[in-house]
Amino acid sequence: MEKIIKYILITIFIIFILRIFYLQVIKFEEYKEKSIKNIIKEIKIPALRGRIFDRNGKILASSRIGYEAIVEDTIVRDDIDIREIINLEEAGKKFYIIGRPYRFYPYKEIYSHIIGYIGKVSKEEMLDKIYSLGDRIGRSGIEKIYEGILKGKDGISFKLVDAKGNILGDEIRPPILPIKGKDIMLTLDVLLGIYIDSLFLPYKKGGAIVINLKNGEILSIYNKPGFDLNIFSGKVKEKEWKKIKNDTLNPILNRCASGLYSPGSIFKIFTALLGLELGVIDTNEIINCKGEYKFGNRYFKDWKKEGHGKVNFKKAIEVSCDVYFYEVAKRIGLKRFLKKLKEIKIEEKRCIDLFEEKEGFLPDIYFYYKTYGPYGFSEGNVLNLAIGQGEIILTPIQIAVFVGLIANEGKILKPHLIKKIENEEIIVKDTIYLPFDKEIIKIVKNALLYVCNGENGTGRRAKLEEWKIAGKTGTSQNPSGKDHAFFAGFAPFEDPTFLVLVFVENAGMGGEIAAPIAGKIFKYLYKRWKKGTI
Amino acid sequence: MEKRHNLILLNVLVILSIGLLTIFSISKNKSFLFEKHLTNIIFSILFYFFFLKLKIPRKFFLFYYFITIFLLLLPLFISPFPKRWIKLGVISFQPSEIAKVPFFISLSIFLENKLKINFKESFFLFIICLFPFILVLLEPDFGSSLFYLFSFYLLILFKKTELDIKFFYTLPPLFLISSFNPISFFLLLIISLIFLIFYDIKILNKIIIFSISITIGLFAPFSWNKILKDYQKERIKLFLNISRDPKGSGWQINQGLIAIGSGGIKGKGFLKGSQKGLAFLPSAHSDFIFASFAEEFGFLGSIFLLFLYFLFFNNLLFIIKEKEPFLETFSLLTFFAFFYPFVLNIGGEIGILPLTGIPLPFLSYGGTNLLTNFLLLSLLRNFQRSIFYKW
Repeated sequence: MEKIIKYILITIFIIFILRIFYLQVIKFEEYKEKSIKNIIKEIKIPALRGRIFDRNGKILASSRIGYEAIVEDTIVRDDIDIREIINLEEAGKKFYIIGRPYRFYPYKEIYSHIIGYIGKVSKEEMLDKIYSLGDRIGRSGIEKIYEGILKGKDGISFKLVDAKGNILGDEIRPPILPIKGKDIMLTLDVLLGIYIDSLFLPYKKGGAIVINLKNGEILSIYNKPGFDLNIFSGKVKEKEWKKIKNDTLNPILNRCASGLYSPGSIFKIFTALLGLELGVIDTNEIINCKGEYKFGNRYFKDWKKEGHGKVNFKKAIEVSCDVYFYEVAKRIGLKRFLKKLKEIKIEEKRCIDLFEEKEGFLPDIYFYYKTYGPYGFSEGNVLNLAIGQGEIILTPIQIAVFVGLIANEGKILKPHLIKKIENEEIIVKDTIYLPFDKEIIKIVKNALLYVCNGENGTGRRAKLEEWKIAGKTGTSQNPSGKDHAFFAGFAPFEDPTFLVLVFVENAGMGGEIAAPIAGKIFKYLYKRWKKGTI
Repeated sequence: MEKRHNLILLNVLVILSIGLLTIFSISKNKSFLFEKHLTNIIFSILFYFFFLKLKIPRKFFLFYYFITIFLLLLPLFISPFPKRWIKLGVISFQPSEIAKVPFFISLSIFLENKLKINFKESFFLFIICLFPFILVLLEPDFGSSLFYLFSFYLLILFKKTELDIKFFYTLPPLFLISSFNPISFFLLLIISLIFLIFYDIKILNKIIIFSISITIGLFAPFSWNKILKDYQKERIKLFLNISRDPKGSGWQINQGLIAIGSGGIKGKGFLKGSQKGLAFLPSAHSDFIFASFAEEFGFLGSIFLLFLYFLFFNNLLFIIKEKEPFLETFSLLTFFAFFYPFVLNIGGEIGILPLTGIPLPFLSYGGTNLLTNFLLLSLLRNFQRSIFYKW
């Protein structure tokens, strides 16, 4: 009996020894690694996000230091300062603190739509392991488009922990240092933005675009209203977020890039170009404007009730005579008008790096068929289109580029926002063309000079003594109250360098509201240009 | 003979000092553990020598058995859940441990005059062991309760018993356990058939044993799947406390394996174990004492410790050799009282058996366990002396 017990005893001891040998000798390395992993907690050192500068090196976005209190891998307090940490410690809570760079935007709402805001990563975004809890990610604008460049690479520090995850000691292995994200310099001019903001003080909604025609650099895409980017950068205050979300003025909307408007009289430029190209008008021909235009049995009104009297081509553009362009449109005819409209492609996205730029809409003949049926529309529709009303809708940036194409006589460099990434200069060579003969464009361009400088020019309020300014006003009718005022112009006329577009929503006539603002912007640009600071 | 017992005592003292060292290393953070353990050891040794001089009457089976039952009933009435402990002022103890002592004596008395266990006696023996098993199961403490049931099997298998009786008690439960896995079921079926055919047992008994086994083996999975409702299964699982793993998915076992494996050949060094030091090892002083030791002293230390245990068990075997009936039963049970927790504890820690939470004899922290173990050794010596001196 005791022999059997002895055999059992020996067998069990052999099994135990073999198993222990397997664990301690054969699998030693694996378990050693595991035991080290057990006591090491990897804590992320967030990388410093790349800064964003304006064209003159003024900081648009940088980082400030804040702290997070963490208990068992969950962030219990976000974006706290030293004083709050001391409060937590006095309350006797078990936590550890990591420093985190939070975004800081010194100019708050200026260019907020272009720079963009950041927000906390979602669960889905954390799946690829690049992001972890509490990280911020670009949600709009440059912050989103250039997330990969701005983010940098997070580092890791290795702390000694016990089984409950309490940190017991300092680094037990040298940390992997974070790599800072790359800085980005924009083509925007923040001082110009501040100046434009002061001009918009009386108005609630609108925007202003300034583009350097020589190199395609966008100096300003100003939107009103904007929103303080800092609200989203750290601890998001519910109240402020709600205020922005529920604001009827919709401050999040990038009006310049995604607001859709009828271009109004600015679009008469196209009608003029097409009329000249088809030869249906002679620049010397005189048309008598009596304030209304009879087409079939309908009367089309001019914006000026009493009429403009006798107008030739130049005068028609100067005073923005509707009747003149009704006549031109009638001679062109709906089919030819729509055919050319399809070719010019000004409704396409025009810029590089402009967040949420929308496409505009230009109707074609199929659109009319589809919408109104084969008998639902007539030649009369072309009259509305000719003065920029009706189905044509464009974003302000598209309208600006269209006027820029006139200023530059048929081609311009693609407008863009990035000047430098770290130290690497970004040069854009993409070109946009307007499919009209250069000579024809020149005729229209010359006429635009009178809009600002002529005695009765609708844009005369944009006139400057020191600079020859050309442009076109527009008044965009809309169902939501007063007209939207537009003005798009360029200067100096002899060598177009700056393109300015100003629009003010629900404010009135382009000549009365937008042109004076544009004039002031031109004056400001002139001063900076003379000094060579822009 | 006395020399053998002195060797055993010396052996135990060496294991105890290793345990003390390990508990000292663990109690770096937890105070009092070391001091308490040292006190327990001193008291236990005192009891050892005290009981050595005591005259223990080798009759009155019912007296010892009632003490056993009384001890096991007590916590069910006076203790809070789980009813494993009895508190008497400052002293608290585990009745399921200490009850082993009167239980062993009562069994030894019961079998003293039986040279060969017949069926009737085997059935009485079964009943005697069944009550303590049920009482401990009700505490509930599945791991410890099984010890009482296994004691019965130990005696049936190793004392002189007819083969058919051995088969009668062992085959049905084996079929029950194996029935939940078809492969093991058929394997057992074939093996048992071979045994039954070739062993010299009456045909009728063969048929009875085999049909009972098969019936149980087939009925168990059926009743588990069809008759019991899910919540009832959950209750049974919970009651049997199958998973002693609060963090789930083998976290405890895994941490134990990491502790042992990361010790390597030489170990991390005394007081340098990171697994037990940083509380990755749950109850490092009892359930995982071997892992704590192996982490710091490595493979060489583990082999040394196992060697000490082997010597200890081997020395006990010499005593079992004594053919005096009372002593034979008592020494067999005592051997089992050390061997059962040894196998379950180390087997659980090295990941080849399920975790039961039974302490490792002489190494783990725990007062009642230590005292019981010393009492058993003391009585073993006491009874063996009495053979020669014939009190």
